[in-house]
Amino acid sequence: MSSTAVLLAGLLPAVVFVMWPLFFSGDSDAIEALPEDDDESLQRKKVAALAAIKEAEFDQRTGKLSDDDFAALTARYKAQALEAIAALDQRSTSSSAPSGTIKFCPNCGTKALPGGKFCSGCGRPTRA
Amino acid sequence: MIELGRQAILIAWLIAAYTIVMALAAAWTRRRDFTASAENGVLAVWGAVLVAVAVLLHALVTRDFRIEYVAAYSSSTLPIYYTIAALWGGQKGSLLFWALILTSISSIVVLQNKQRNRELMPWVIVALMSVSLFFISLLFFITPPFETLAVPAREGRDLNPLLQNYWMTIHPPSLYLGFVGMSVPFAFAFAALATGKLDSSWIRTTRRWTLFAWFFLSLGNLFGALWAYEVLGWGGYWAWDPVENAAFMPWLTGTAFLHSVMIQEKKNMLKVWNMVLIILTFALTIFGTFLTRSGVISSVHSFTQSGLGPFFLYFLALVLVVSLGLLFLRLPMLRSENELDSLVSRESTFLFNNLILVGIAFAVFWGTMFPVISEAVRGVKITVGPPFFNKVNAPLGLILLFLMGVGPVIAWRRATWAHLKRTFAGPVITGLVAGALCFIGGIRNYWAIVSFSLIFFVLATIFAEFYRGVRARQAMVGDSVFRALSQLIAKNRRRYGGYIIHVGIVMIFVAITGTSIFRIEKQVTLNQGESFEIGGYELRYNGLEERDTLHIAYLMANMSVFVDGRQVDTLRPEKRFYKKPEQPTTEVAIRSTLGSDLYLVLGSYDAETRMATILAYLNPLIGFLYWGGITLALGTFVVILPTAATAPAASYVPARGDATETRS
Repeated sequence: MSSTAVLLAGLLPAVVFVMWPLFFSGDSDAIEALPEDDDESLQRKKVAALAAIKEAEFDQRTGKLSDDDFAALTARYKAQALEAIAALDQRSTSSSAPSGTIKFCPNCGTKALPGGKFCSGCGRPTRA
Repeated sequence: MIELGRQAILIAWLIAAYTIVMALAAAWTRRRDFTASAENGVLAVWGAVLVAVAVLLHALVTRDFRIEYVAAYSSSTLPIYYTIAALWGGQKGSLLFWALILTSISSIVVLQNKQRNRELMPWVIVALMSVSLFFISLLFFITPPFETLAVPAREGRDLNPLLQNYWMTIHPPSLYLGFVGMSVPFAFAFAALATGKLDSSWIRTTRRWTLFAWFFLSLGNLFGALWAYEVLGWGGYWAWDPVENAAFMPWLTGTAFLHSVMIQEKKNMLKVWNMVLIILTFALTIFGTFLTRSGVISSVHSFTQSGLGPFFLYFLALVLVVSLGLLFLRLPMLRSENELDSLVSRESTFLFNNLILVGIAFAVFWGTMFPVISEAVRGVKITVGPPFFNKVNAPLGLILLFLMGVGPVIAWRRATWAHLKRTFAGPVITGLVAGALCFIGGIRNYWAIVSFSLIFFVLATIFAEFYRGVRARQAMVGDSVFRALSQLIAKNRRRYGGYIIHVGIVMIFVAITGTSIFRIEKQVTLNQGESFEIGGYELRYNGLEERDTLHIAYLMANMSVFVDGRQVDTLRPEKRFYKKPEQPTTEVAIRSTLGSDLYLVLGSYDAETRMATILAYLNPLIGFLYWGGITLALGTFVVILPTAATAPAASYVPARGDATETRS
């Protein structure tokens, strides 16, 4: 077999595979959406703040954080978390109607935040 | 078949070039189909490289001596596992193997991020494929692995005997995985810089990859050390050889990176520093490859030497100029969102730890490059030996050890006196007691005393951490001790896995202290039946034994080992005569106990009188090198393994699915 034949035999399927999305991907002109990323970073901000609060609690219990620092830190992280939650809240209400599955926590009756997996009042899961 | 291998490399080159162009276009236009095409391109390149590797492996296994590489690095009598390992035994094969790992990792990254990090991905692909293209270019233009001989060889010249060792099958792959793995965090950092999406998401996304690369880099270094220990026959495992340094430097900066990203994640500080560290780490992996392959500096590792040096240097310059240039452009966007509150706090301890690690890396770099620098400046090539490295790095290493005890435990932001007293009183006393015991036990070497004190200090802080954590959990949840401990680790595997890794590193410090300070060395020439004594062992030389195989001829000195007059072992240090490259090697004999290694080398012998010269070494505490490595691996698994459904991280994971679910 000549080298050109081998090259073509190998190159052809590779080129077809690589070019395929350019011609047959339905939404050929689709632009990668940015807002998704924003949503993601808000989520992440919320999660990071909540995790930081949890870690601060543990650090305080094991004596790595003074009570004053603990109060100051948690206040700051709480503010951050609430900010992110509020922003997420707004986005989800503005983009479409809230899902309306659960409005109140079945355990303690606190009003559930949309999109939240756990109750902000008692920490139990909001969905069974 | 040979033709298939050649064309596969050409195809890989063409598609890689196309993919870079496509990914750039995708980054520019944000068109989904462009990104998708580039992603397929990554997979196609991987496929082509895989074909090339398969062809070369096939040629090795079927002993196709028409191919120059096969004839140069294997022979018909080479055992099959070394024949497979010959894939990375020489320059060309190892570059091809490198390309395979890189494209495999790139493909995994592409598949992992089909739904995530869409904005970053085009740039990630640009970075990863550019590195791939560089290696594939070398394979295509400079050192083609499928070059054939004008006259097919009847027999191969065989693999270098020093490489015919079981470490050969695992040391290079793990080192390559470590080197190449660092490309992933680098690629994401590059993408973050290019897109201006400079929050910590690139760090979070690549955390596992960084750990993966760090883990294999650690293992690669350890395996290399153990290999040198068993094969080179000078009684030690680390000689600050340029090639050892080449693998050690990215480990140091990578370790610094691993620590400082925590500060960015928690406190949004050190953003520029993290960028610098990952760029530096990646650059050092390329630089390390340059060192081993250029022959600029002579080294024990000359098997892969070639004239490739300049290309690596150009590529290195390109990497540094582009990434540091981008970093400079983005500086205004990388301002720290917090400040250091106090010098006595976790943040600043982490910063010190970083400075020390980078300091050691710089010292190693300086010492490694000194021959070149001195030649350029004064026209004389001056090599600095192990004394330089030991002198500079011993104090830095001890400071690092100290910080390892302080860093994870000290309070965030600002540590109060009361906190310091409460946290460190116990460990400090433990350390002092350990030091005093060393002194009472007769140790008068102050380095050793300080080192052992610090070792116990660190172990005590780690123990106290676990103890306090368990107590706190018990107070909060009311579990049993065992359950509290396992839950403690499960709830924060990152932290407690990190402590386990620290224990591993401490064990490695134990080995280093033991072997560098308390090593005993003896050289004796013996007649048959004579004996000598070393470190509590009595050794009797019983004479020479011979054995012959098709591949190797062996000559062994039979040594009986006695402790308190009772025979405990028979050791046979060997000389081996490999037949294909007609090369003698020395094979050491080791008796390992937890306390020390008895290490014997057959120096020379007289075939007529049967007299033999034996080099004997007693390496105290070296076993901790193995155990430290195993502990380190264990800790890394705790940190890295995917979270089980019950573990807490599941509830922390950004609930993307949920978010979209509730919206729709």
